[in-house]
Amino acid sequence: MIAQLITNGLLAGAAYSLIAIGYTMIYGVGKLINFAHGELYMGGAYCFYLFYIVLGWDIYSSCLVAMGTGALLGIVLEKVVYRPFKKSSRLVPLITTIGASIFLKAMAMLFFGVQTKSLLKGASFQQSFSVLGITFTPVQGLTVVICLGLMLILGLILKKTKIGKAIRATAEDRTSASYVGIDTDRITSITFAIGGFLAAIAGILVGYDQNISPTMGVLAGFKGFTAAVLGGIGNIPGAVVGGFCIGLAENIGAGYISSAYKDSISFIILLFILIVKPQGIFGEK
Amino acid sequence: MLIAIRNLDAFYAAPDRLALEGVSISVNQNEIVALIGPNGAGKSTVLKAIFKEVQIKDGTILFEGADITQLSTNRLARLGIGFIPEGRKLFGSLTVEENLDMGGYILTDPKKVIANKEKVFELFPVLSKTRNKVAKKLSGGEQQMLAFGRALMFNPKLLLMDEPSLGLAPKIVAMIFDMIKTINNLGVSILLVEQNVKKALEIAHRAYVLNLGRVAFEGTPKEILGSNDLKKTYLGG
Repeated sequence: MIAQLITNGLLAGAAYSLIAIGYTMIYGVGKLINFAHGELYMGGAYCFYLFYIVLGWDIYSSCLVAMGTGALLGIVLEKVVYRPFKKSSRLVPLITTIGASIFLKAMAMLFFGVQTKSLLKGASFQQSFSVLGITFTPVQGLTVVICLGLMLILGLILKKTKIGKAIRATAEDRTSASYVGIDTDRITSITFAIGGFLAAIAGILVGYDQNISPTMGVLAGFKGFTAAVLGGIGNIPGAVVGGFCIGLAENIGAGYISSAYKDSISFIILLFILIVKPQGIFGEK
Repeated sequence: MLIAIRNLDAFYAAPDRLALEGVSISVNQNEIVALIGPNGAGKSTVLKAIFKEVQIKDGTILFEGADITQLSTNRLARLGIGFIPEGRKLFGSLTVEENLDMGGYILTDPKKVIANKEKVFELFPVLSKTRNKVAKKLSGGEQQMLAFGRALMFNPKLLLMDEPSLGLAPKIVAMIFDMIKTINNLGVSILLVEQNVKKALEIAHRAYVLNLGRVAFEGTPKEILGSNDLKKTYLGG
C-alpha cells in the first residue's frame, strides 16, 4: 500500500509544486503573497473547459489557449491589483489579491455555474495503468512528466538567459536591479505571467483528472502556498521540494490515519512550520 | 558640463521637511567631484535624488543638457549614469559573472558584454578568479571591486559612488581610492560621497561641502584644506 500512497503523493505533489513555484517567484520579485494565485489555476482549467468542451476545439489548441490565458491573467492581475499599490504598505496588495480571488471565483460561478464539471470528452483517457501493483491514469503520469519537464526548463531559463538572470537579480535587490537599467515593473509582470502559465497548466492537468469547480483553486492554492512556505518562500527549488513534501504527507497521512484528514494535514504542516521554522527548509534568516 | 543640478529641493517623507534645499552641484567631463560634510548633511541624498529615491520638490537635474529630473531610475543607466550605492547592494546569490552580466543588462550586443567583462577582469583580476563564486561569499574588498566592475559594465560616462570605503580595512581603503582614480583615468567622471574626507580630497578635482541640506562651500581641495574655518566647522579640525 505504501508504494501506491507514495505514487499518489508524487502525483499530487507535482501539481502543488507548479503552483508553489508561482507563489515563490511572485513573492521573490514583488515581495507579495498573491492570494489570487489559486484562481489562476482555476482560470486555466475553466479556460480549457470553455474551448475544449463548450466550443469543441481539439485538446492541444485548447491547452495552448488556456495556458496563454493563465499567463495573461497573471499579467492583468499584476497591472490591476499589484502595481498601483506596490509603494503602499505591504498589507494593501495582500488585500487586493484577496479581493481579486473573490472576484475571479464569482466570475467563474456566474459564467459556468457552481456545479462540478468534467473535462473529459470520452472515457478512454481515464483507463488506468497498473505497474508493479501501482495504479495510475495516463493523465496522472503525464502530469508528473510535464511538471518535471517544466521545472527543468524554468530552471534553465533562470540560470542561462538574460531575462532569467534579470528575474533573479530583481528578486535579490529590486533597487539595484533598476540601477543597472532593469525595468523591474516589466520583470514583475513577466514573473506574474510565468506564475499564471504554470498554475494554468496545473489546473488543466488536475482538472482533467479530478473535474473542475469554481472553488477548486482555494484548496490547491492553499496547498501550493504551504509548499512555498515549507520550502522557504522566495526559493524556487524549495517550492518544488515543498510541493512534493505536501503531496506525500497528505497522501501517506490519508492512508495511515484517515482520508478525512487529508486536507487538514497541509494546514497542520503550515502551522507547524510557522511555529518551528518560519523561514522554511531552504530559507535564509 | 556633464551633470548639473540646479536649485534642488528634495525630501524623504514630508514636503515641508526638506532634506536638500537649493542645492546646485555640477560635474564636468573627466572630473572627480567629492561631496563632503558632517553626518546628515545630505550628501547621499544628492545621489539618491538623481536616482529618484527621494522626492524632488523643486529644481532641475540636467545630464548632457537634457532634463532628467523626472526620469525613472531604470532609464538612467541607458543615458550612461551608474550608481554604486552604500553597502554595495550586489546581487548576493548570483555569481560574480552573473552580477557582471546584469551590469551589462542594457547592452543589446552579447559580444559587447563579453568584451566588457574581459576589461573588468583585466582591471580586477581577483574577479576573474572568483567568477563562479556567489557574490555574498566574497570578502568586503572583493565585493567593492565587483560593485565597481558591475557599474563599469555598461560604459558609464558618470559614476555616482556612495561611501565606497565604508567598513573596509585601511589597506583595502587605499586600494579602493586608487581604483577610483584608475576608473577616472578611463574617462569616467565621478561624483563621490565620502566620510573619509582626507582621502577623498586627495583624489578629487573639486569638492562641495554640504551642511544641513545646503551647499556651504564649493572649491578645490586646496581651498578647503587651506581654510581653517571650514576644517573646524565641517571636517572636525
